[in-house]
Amino acid sequence: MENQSGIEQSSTSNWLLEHVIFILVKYRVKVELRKGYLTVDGLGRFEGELLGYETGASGELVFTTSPSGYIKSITDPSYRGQILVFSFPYIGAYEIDETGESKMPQVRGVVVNNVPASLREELSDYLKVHRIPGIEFSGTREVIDFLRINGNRIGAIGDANAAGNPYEFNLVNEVVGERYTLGNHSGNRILLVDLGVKGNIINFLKNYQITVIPYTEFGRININDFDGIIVSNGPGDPSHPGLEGFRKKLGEEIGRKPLLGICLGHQLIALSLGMRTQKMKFGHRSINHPVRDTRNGKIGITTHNHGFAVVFENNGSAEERFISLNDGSNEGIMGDNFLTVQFHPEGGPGPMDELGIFEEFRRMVNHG
Amino acid sequence: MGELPKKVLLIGSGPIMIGQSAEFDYSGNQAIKALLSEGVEVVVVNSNPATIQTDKIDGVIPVMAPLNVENLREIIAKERPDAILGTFGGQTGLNLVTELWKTGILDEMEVRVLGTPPESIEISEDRLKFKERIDELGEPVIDSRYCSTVQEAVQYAKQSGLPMVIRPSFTLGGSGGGIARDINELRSIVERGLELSKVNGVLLEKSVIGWNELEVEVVRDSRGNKIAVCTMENVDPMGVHTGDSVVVTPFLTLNDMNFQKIRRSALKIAEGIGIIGACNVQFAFNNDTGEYYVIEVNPRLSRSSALASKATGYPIARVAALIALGKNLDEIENNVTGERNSAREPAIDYVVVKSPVWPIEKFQDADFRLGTQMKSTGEVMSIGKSLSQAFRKMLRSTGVLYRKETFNESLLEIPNPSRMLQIYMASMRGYTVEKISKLTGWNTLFVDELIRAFGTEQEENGFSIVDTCAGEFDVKTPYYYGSSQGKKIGGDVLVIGSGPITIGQGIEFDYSCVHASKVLRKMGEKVVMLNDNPETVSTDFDESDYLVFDPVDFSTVSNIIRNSEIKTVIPWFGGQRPINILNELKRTFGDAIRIPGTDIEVVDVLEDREKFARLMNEMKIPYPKFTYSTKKDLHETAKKIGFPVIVRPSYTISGSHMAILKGEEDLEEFLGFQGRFVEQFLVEKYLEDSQEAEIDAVSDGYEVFIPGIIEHVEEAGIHSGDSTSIFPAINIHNHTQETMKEYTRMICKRLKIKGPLNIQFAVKNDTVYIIEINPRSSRTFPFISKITGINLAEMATEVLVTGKIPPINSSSNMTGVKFPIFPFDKITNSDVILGPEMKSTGEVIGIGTNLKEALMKGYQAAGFDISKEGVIITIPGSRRNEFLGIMKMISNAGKVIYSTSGTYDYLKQYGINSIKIKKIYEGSLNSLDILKQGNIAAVLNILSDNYRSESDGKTMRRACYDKKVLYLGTKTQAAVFADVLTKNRN
Repeated sequence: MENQSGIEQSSTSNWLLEHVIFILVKYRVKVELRKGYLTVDGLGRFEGELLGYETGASGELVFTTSPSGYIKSITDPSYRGQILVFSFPYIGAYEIDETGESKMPQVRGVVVNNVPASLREELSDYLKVHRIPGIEFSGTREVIDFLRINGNRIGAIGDANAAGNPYEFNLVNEVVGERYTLGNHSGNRILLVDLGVKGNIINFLKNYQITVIPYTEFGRININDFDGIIVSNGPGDPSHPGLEGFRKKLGEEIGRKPLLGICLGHQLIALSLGMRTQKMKFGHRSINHPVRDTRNGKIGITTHNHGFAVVFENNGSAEERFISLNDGSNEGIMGDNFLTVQFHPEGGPGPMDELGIFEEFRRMVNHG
Repeated sequence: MGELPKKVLLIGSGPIMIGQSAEFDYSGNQAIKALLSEGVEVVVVNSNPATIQTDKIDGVIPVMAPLNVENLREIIAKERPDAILGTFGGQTGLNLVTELWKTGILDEMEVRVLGTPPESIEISEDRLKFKERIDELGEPVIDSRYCSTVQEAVQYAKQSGLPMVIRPSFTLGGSGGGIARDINELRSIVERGLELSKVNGVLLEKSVIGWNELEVEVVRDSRGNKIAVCTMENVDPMGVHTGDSVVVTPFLTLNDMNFQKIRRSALKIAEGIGIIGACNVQFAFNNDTGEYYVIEVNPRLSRSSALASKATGYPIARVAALIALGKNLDEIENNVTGERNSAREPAIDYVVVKSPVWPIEKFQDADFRLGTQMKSTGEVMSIGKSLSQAFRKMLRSTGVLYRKETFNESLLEIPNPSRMLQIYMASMRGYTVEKISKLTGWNTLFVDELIRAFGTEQEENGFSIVDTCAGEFDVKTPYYYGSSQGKKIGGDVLVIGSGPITIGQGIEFDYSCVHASKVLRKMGEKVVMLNDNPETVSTDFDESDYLVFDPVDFSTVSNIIRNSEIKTVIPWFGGQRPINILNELKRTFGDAIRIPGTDIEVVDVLEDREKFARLMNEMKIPYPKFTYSTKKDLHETAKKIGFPVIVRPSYTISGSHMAILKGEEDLEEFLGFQGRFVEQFLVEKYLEDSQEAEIDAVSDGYEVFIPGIIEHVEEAGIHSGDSTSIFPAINIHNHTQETMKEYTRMICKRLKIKGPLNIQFAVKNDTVYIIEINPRSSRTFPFISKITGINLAEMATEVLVTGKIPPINSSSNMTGVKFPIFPFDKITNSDVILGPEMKSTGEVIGIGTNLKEALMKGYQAAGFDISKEGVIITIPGSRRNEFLGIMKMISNAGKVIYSTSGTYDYLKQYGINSIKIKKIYEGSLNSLDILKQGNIAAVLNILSDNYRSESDGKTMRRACYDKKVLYLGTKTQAAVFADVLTKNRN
């Protein structure tokens, strides 16, 4: 089900440096625990033990309640610009050799409550190799309570300032890779528009002949060369001006070829259809969210990772296909030759109750 | 959604026994609350008096009756329910609802089965159909074969290879199952399994011993929506019954891919079988290769579902009951968060550990190697921010932290109750984590964290919460566990619960705690409930204002006192466990905390035998003579008091390590056993052949409410918890009863007893002796309450609050009989003789308008069929005259008597016909053969003092327990039995 495919990262130039650090880390004499701080804008400072890379970092503080797949979470490109707080306190109880969603950690920092003593070093070294700072302290629940009540805030690990707004930047540009192809050469031809695609999405598309392109190349593609289009997940604000050109082009192509949008892809399609998106209070980032399929009333448990949501508008362009049972927010739309989902049918981490999405897309492609 | 039923019959699970404990009172009770909230009336049938579900409340019709098809048919005919729920009463409930359905009774009486349909139940219960269905679903299932003869089994094993696991169909807690490593073992396990299986079949399957054992709790509604409520990883690998395994929640050693693989399979199976409600799916998982097998599905509420509910805050039984009524997951409110959404899978921000507790102290010569036969009586649940924190709490709750043992490497390899302590001792001796992991089969993570737990004390300061969502949503009614940087909670009164179910510390105490909480809340107090037992009603989220799920010990109580607003502590309802921390509580907190009720000094007087004796002397109340003695002087002391004597270490729960010694020989044997651990003994005169009785009462220091006298059928010397008890007493003279009541009043006034109490008496030659006084709620409180309709725990709580006994306006003319239920069929190699050590795990009640009716129901409820034709009698020569009358009555009642030679001749002499059989050691056809033929109502076996008789007696008792035949080992037991037969004929 899983392999190392993932996507090509642009940061290969750091290969040598990483190896040097890895060797240093692996053969060093054990150092003392390092004390340090997590600063939460509006809440205060927490003292803890630092993990990973010895540098400060700031970013938007977000949390996930998933007890499994911590490596998948850390490597999920959708977490770009964010410091990830794990609700589950006992992170890292199994070894770090789990297949990631991309080749390296994407978060700006990691906040954990309690790493099992026997695996602490392993996790810390892993973060260090990838130059990600982390902090371990027992008050994570207080931070989560604060975020739930007050909404996402900026946080900082170590000596960084808890300031700035990561959404000023087009975070997608930090994670998109280069163009490449893979999959089954006799299968249907699928164009996968990369905005920070997760490895597990690609795993579910193996029967297709897939061409992965960075979103910036979308305008130069002749979509008649393809049997279907998938717009991937990715980080950041879907209404960011840097994505304007892509949204416009996307709007022109909707309906021409079978189209599937996942997460950020879903949001961008909705924007192209004239709907709007809004920043959520503290977002959805867990693996236990029930969504209802409005066509048959059935409920599926799904993985979420989004801080923005589509405000569904019945403007005749689409029907509301999925809604969140937690807060009633939109979780997917469908219309003429397109289907979009806000959640992650591929899990990674999390359940794959709604794998029917990929099947539905396949039927669209076959009939298309 | 179908039409809502008007009246639902809910089947309870009967007595507490190994494999079927208090979790079903919890599940049933939660289901009842759900049904009532929808306006549905509930008829509850159960034979266990110590259950909250059988309380008389608005909308509930409790029927205390033996659980069998005939009774249920009668109850259905009388109450005319239009629907039935069998999935809340454990395996007993499930079997009964299946039987009622198969026999067509349900159709005939127009009762529909709610929840998972019988067809689906059959698929999951019948191994063959199960395997077929799982195969169809494309899920992996272990190669296995269903065998109905030993020969067939041997042949299959030879062709497929050993070791093999043997599971009998339709039994509780894996009764009669086992793992066979060679053909001889296979033969004996299969033989036993075939005997125990209701359908005469056993399943043989390839062994996956050593694999990781995983469980998933699934809830599915009739629309096909389903969620995995909780994942559980067994610390002990496959081969140990999950009821006997240490378990952690959630899965810890699985990466996400494997986690999702197992979750997905569980949901697929729930779908494929057609579960409507809750089920538990068990897997064997290979951590190295990622392979897995589906082991079994329990299509009902279970021990695991109770644990999963308590571990996550998600009330599975409540949701399952509402699903049974036709609701869907998105239509059911989540009580903890207050949203109308039970479709979200719970998320937790802590680690949970469950550990079983085993009755090792009670069965010292028994075989406690753990396998597929469950042997634990109860369990504790611990919550921590890390595994080692949760382990540490678990070690406190189970008492393993304080246990002392000698190191023995072989105890690492064989699964057994000592293993956790042995792991720690091994690490202290320099064993590496890897080596211990190899020896135990435990994952290195578990070994490492357990060792840390032993070595690290943890400061708790305040509480963290269980909220079903790990902080993602706002909460309305969470519950709490102690943590290092916790928050403060509110509350006025702390009720200390009773902890895990062990022999002697049973569910009866939880019953009292729940009622204390109810009364206190009714009176406007905010109640903090402390308990660490996930099987209980008291740990249901809505039975108190602040539930604290932590070890029942001083350290937790101290955390509660320092970090809540309580000013009052009530220790009187949780049995002995809370009483044990009273002194420390008083020393530490003094007057800062109020403990309403009896003075703590009085508790001390009553528990200290010397102070007790002084008091009895002053009050001129007779008590059995006793003295303290060192190990060295024990011979001397015993002689001085005069054999027989009762010997025990002081301060013990329900007779731990007590023994009755009849002479020097017994004394030697006792010393050989106990002398290793104990230096100081209490030696007490044993009142041989005396009548035992007890009083449960409530006192306010002036007035004393005495509902009556409980008469013990067995003579003094057999632990009161193991006695067959009659209430109100019938065979005790009125003036004797008056003396007991008078003593009770005298004591209550003199000691200013306020609240509940229990006094045990022995009567010999018309003299009433007081054996002991317990100034707390007793094991028999629920029993008395069910017969009289007066709830003693409630009354005692009112006294604690108001200082006065409330007016009583209830009178009952019912008679009740309590029969103990023993675990001898589960704990092999144990002698089944009764004595001052309590051995029963639970009880059943028979209630009737007269003793005969009550006894009949009691026998039935305990599983004895006394309508069968034969009675086997063996009585030594010296005692035959005493039994002549009884034997005549048995014969006159139309029973066929089978007697051994001496008894046979004696009966012949008096014109009583009987069939002569041999004693066991004389060859066949002997009493054991006759017993096995199966038409025996009872065995009357009085032992003589020779070795062969003892050994025969032991074999016979064991056989009786295995065959569920009534064993009469004392004259009173025999007399009661003869009496019932006689009256029954008229």
